[in-house]
Amino acid sequence: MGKTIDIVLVVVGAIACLALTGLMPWAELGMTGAHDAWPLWLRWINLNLGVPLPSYDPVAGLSTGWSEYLKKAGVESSFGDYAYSLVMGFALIAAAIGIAAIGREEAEEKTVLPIKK
Amino acid sequence: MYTSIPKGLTDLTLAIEKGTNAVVSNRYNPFYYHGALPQFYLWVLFLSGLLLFAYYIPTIDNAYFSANLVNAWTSVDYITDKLPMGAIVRGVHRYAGDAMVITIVLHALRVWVTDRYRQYRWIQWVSGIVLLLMVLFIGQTGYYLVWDERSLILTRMTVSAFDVLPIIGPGLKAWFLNGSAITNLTLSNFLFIHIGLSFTLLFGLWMHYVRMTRPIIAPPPAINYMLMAVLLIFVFAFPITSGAMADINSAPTSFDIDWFFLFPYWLMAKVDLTAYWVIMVGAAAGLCLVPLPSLYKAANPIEAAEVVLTKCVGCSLCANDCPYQAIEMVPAPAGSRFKLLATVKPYRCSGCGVCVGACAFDAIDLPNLLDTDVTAQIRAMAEAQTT
Repeated sequence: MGKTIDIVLVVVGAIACLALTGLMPWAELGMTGAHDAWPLWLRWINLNLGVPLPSYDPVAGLSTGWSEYLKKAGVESSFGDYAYSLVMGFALIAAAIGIAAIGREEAEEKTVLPIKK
Repeated sequence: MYTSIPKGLTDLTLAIEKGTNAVVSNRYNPFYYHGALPQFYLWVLFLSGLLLFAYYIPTIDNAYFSANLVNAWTSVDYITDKLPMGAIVRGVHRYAGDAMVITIVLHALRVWVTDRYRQYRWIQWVSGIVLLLMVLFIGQTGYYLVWDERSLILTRMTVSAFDVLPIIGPGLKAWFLNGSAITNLTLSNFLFIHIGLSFTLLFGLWMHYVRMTRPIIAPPPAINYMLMAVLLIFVFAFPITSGAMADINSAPTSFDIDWFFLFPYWLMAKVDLTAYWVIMVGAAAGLCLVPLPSLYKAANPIEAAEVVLTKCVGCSLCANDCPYQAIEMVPAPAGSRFKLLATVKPYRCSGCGVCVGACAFDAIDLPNLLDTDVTAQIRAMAEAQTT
């Protein structure tokens, strides 16, 4: 039972960590996935080699809400940096859960009683 | 009455630890790394501080021949609003300071409730209190560096507090301001104090660890990730901003208080300055004296462990196990079959007997509690139970 939970936690942690890590470029680009926001060299690869750039349409709604919240908190610019911080924080938590689940099995407490010869 | 409070808290702490163990296992239980948590935040503060230092300009007037004002406040503003990730680094630096204070207090509480602060651990306790006071003062100097209206109020309040101190007051005031009034040199001094004292913490940590054989100074990566994640989420949830730029010709009267570092200023505003110093010095001294009653041990004098030279094989087991670094392995005398010989530093020995249990050769004993006597007592008790 315990092992099953650990495996589930590892899988969930890994998927969540990867998904959140995937949001980091979006945050770093200022919470936009627009083509023009990507660095020039990535756009060149996209246009000339046909490598697709990721689409961030599913999370586009987050940008407005998060920016509004930050404005109310007194932030004037660099909203994307704050979003990066939040996403990275959650990614670290997901990674920590996964790592702890992997290491939990080896962490059985071992008591060694010294025997005097 | 007094003993029942720590006993109840100890039971509560152990119950919480046991519950945490059931969820995350003993390997990832943060309670087992309570001393290492503040140290993790110290490294975060050093690293983030280094990045901020690269862009910080410690002046109140124009630092350069520039049409625009370039001073401490504008440099912090530049870091926050223009420098890529500057706001995040600033926020991490600020919240790592708060987190360090919280983890130090939790560390001290756990040490207290688990009764690990007294007798031969008094050095760790007293050095820990001194380190906490240093961290608080370093944090306060961080608030002066921003050079907004709050910085100005805090600087003036500190000067007023120094003013009332007899004999040392004028000297402290001159040292604090780096002169007789707030000038550019004052900001340079604040930066020097902020960074200089931070590095002095490392010496304090050496004092803190000097009698510990195996201090745990780094939590496992999973806990480090969680500690860092907390900071990053707080940076988003509660962004750090500066107030209006300080103007030494103005007299601002109120500011937002950070209770982790600025509570002395709250007290300063509430009571007479003489009473303030009495309370602050009294509280600091009182905390340092917490282990004092346990140092009175005339009723049960402790005799240091003694090595039986003819039996010691120089295996180092006792030195490895000694919790107080009281055993040193020295080269064995000429003619010995072995390379090393254990020697006891009596001033560090607590007479705990761990070395006696560690030695597989009966080569170390407590003079007032011989191994043979202990064995005889155990035999007698066992026989008494069977008959």
